Amino acid sequence: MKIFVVEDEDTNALILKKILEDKSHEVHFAYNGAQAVAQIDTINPDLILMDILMPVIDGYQATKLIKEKMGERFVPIIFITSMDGDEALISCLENGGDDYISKPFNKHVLYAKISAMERIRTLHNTIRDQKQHLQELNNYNRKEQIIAEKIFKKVMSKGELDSPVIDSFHQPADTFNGDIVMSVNSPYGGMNFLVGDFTGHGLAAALCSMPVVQIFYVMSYKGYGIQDIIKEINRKTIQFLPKGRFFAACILNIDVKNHKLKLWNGGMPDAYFLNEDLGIREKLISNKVPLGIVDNDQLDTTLNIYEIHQNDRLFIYSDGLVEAHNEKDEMYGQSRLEDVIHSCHKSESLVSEVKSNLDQFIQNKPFQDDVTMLEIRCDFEKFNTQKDGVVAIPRTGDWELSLRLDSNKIQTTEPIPIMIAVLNEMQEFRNHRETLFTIVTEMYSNSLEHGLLKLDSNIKKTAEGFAKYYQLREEGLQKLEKGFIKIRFRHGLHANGGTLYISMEDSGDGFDVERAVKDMGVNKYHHGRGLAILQTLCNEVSHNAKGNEVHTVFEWTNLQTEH
Amino acid sequence: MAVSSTDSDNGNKVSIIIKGRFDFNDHTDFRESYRQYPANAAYTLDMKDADYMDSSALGMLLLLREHAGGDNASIEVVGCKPEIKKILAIANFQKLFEIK
Repeated sequence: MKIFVVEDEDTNALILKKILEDKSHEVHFAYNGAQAVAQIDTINPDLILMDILMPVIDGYQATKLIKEKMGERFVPIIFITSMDGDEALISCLENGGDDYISKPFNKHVLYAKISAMERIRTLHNTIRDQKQHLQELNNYNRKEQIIAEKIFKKVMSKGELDSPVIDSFHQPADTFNGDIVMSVNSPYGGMNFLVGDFTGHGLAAALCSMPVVQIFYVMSYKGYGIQDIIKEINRKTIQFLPKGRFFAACILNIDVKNHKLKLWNGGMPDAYFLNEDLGIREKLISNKVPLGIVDNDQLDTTLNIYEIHQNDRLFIYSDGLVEAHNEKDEMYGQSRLEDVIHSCHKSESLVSEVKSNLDQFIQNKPFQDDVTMLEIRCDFEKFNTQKDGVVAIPRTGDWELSLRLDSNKIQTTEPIPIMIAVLNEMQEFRNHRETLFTIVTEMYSNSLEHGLLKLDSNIKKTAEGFAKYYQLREEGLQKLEKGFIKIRFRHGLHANGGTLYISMEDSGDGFDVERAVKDMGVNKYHHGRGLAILQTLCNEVSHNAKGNEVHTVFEWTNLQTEH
Repeated sequence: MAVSSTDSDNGNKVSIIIKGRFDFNDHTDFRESYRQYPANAAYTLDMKDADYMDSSALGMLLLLREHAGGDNASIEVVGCKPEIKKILAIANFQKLFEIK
């Protein structure tokens, strides 16, 4: 050990030197307190033996200064004193020393004290090193967390949660969230929404949410139906989630053009479907097994379909809301939530009302689980307002494209996203993409639903019939054995845009074209809507006499960017 | 202990008894309660003394189902209080387990 002896009397210093060197310690000397303080850094001793009465600066004062200089480092100081007993110990400890040795020296006592101090010093250093190591790890971890959080936020902000029809709240129990809330404009002219909850929270749950967010965003954007999206999310979650973990989700699509809500709820608490005055139209209960549990072939992807009216509202939330506890260990519960819904005025935001009610209830207790709420106001005018302004469009030649789908293909594929993808490859339609999507979808639905499946639009006249219609559609599609739909696109480019001719022919019996057009004027809300939309969006709509062939013409122009 | 198990019929019938709160803290005990029994045993989960279960407990049920042969598992969940029934119903576990 390196021992620093601070002693003004030569005799004592010599005796100590002898005693210490006998045990092979390295000994350094200072002859007063001031010298000791000045040399402490250069000598950097393991232990100090300090006389008390010395010139310039005494032992107590020197000890104070040295301990200050050492900071976190522990260098034990043993006072050399002529006192003994309790009095010596008290004055030693009071003045910042760690022990004392009385004169005349007993070398065995001194050795024992030195080795005791050595043990404490080693222990202290170990703790200090570990503390430092932990600190470093913690810093590293924090840095990583900040980066991860930034990435996570970027990924999560892909949805359009700033849409005027939406109000949302997201309160993570940890920095990272196991809850997901997303909304994405669909090219059909509606929006897809997802509110989901991975079992557990924190980093693991957040990690799992990344691929789900990507799938939901990309597939919605490309125009895939939510059934396909649900299947893909399920496939993916089964692939990466450990057994025993799952993903509860409420996934829905609001079709603005057809005033239709399609919903799938697997494992999320009852969502609320409210009318304009916030009366409960329907509780959208979970009737499916959550995602990530059963394989796709066993997964039930049937959707609940409802007709929606202007200003209807939807309120979806995660179980963290109803299971939030206050200090008395009471649960917030569904009845408190329903009380807020009943007392909320139609001009108010339900999310903010519930939020302030919840704050009052839980007071200062921290959230134990992630709390997420999403409120959607079905103000159709305000749904995905298309962004105008487009840059130069690469010119391509005129082209033609046709395809024939037989019953098997119609059953097993969703042809519209594929068609749109191909159209976009052929010609950059940019901001006309959505319109085009709608036209193709309406034409295809007409051919499929009325031509092939022979469904009667009149069924849709009542709200119950509305759901029934889509159920029949689903059943019909599954039973479909023969038939085809032929689709032909022809495009001609001109100076500032182009003309797209679309024809669809189905193997069905056709319909009374004249009557349908006449009906349209009378009741355009419940049926024949597809035709009305086509007439609004296209420059020309015509049918063959039999009614199994429809031709549309869509003129598009290249809009200049507006600032 | 909150989780215990007994067997009869040479280990072909296993009864797992849950008491109090059923949540992540029971993870190890729950796993230990069935690990020694074969996949083809008939399992009964006795919940009559369970007061609460959370979503991680749902996950544990899925692990038991996996252990007992997945789609071929024979697992009955009995004696559930209404609150627990509700949690099971939200996740539609009646499609995966026999809930009585």
